[in-house]
Amino acid sequence: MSQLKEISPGKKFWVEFVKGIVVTNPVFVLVLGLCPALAVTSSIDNALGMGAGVIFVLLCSNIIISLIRKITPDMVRIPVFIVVIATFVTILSLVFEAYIPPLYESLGIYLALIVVNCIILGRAEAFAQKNPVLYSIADAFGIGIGFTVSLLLVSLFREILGTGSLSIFGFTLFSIPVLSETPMAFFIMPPGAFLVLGLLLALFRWLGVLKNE
Amino acid sequence: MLWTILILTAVGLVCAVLITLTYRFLPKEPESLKKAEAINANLPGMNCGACGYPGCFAYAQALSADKKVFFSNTCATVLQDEDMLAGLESALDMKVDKSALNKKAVVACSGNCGNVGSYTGVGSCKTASKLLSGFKRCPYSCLGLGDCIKVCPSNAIRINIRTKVAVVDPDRCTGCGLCVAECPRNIISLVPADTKVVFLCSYKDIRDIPGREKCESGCIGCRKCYKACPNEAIIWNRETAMPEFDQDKCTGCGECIAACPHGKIMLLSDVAKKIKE
Repeated sequence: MSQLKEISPGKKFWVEFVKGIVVTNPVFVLVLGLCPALAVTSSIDNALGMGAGVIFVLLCSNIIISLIRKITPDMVRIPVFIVVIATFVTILSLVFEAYIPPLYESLGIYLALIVVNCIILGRAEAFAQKNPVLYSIADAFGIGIGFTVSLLLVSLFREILGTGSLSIFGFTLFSIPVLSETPMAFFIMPPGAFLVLGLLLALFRWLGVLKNE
Repeated sequence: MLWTILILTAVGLVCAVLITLTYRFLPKEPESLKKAEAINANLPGMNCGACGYPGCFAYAQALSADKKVFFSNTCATVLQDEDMLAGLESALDMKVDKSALNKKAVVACSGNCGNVGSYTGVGSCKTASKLLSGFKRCPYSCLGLGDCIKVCPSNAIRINIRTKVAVVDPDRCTGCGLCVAECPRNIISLVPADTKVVFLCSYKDIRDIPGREKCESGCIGCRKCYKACPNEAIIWNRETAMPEFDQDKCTGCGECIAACPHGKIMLLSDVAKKIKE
């Protein structure tokens, strides 16, 4: 803590932001929010939609919880967090249903399940509740972008291996000749999600060990 | 759009009212739990269970009910860390005499029993003890392959070259107890650091006391130490046919050490000499 006090607020904002993307990456380091990381990473589109949704909810809930942190009694803080988070998830879900119905369809129940996503509740409990609004915004952006990047990474492998091509919003970027005709559909299925996520986790743990040595 | 905003606001307000009512009318957190939380903040939080409680918070609750628990079930991790100990002292509002709580590990074997055969397998006590319960004649002997050395964080254990027995240097030992858990023969134990004399045999099987003679220096249950003690500090344990020491009465006079025909009793401060004897 003594080290953090010495650096300027602007720099601390930056530190909190970068921290969420790499050092405390929610999926690969904190191993939080695995439910959406496994379920909605079957295509890049879904991963982007989920990531955007989580960034929105995380940002809004972090701001509100950070604003009311001094008047929230410790004993009932979890119900208060849940109400705040649930409100923003409802807004998000209604907006998605009204303006981007295909994404709403493919995310399905996992959109509503952002309420109980442990990343959002975890950041509220571990960060927003103890820090001023500015740093909470930085933290929300950092963690949110870290989460989105992780989802994109998992879905990149799954979509390329599982369909043999890569497309964003209906626009096909490339397709691999033989693989797209007989794709490894296994990777689109749930077991493929476990396999890809497990291998990526192992890879990052290994890289971390190499770095420490 | 307007209706949606109004409905969401109304739902939020209803929830807020419910939470407020809950906060008002549900019983408040008991004072003892708050105290336990304050104590818990100064505990390591590893939930290792070495203190004898299910986790750090259970330990904190026990401490908040009775401070003396710290002396009967000491947290060894707190004892190692100056800052943590100071924090706990202020949370409990008491002063801890560290030297009295420190523990030292002692290997209760002095070797000399000879081998059944030669062992050339994997150099680990755990492996060796699985094979026909070890290559030593005495089943309660130190195998001297150094599993304890590998886990010791303070580099306090050495193998005596002549007797092939592990010896803990009490000056370096911090009493963490890792070697106690590691030893497959269960012959390492923690003793309070102010212990004066230690007993270095683990052959607890009473059925063949003559069998203890398979070790040149095993305890044969002769009771010479018991008779020699001028302070009645030795209690004779009939279950194991071995002496036990009442450390409150023991003055460290050394009568029992002189009386033991097999040299099984030793001053704790002399144990370090065994490394190079």
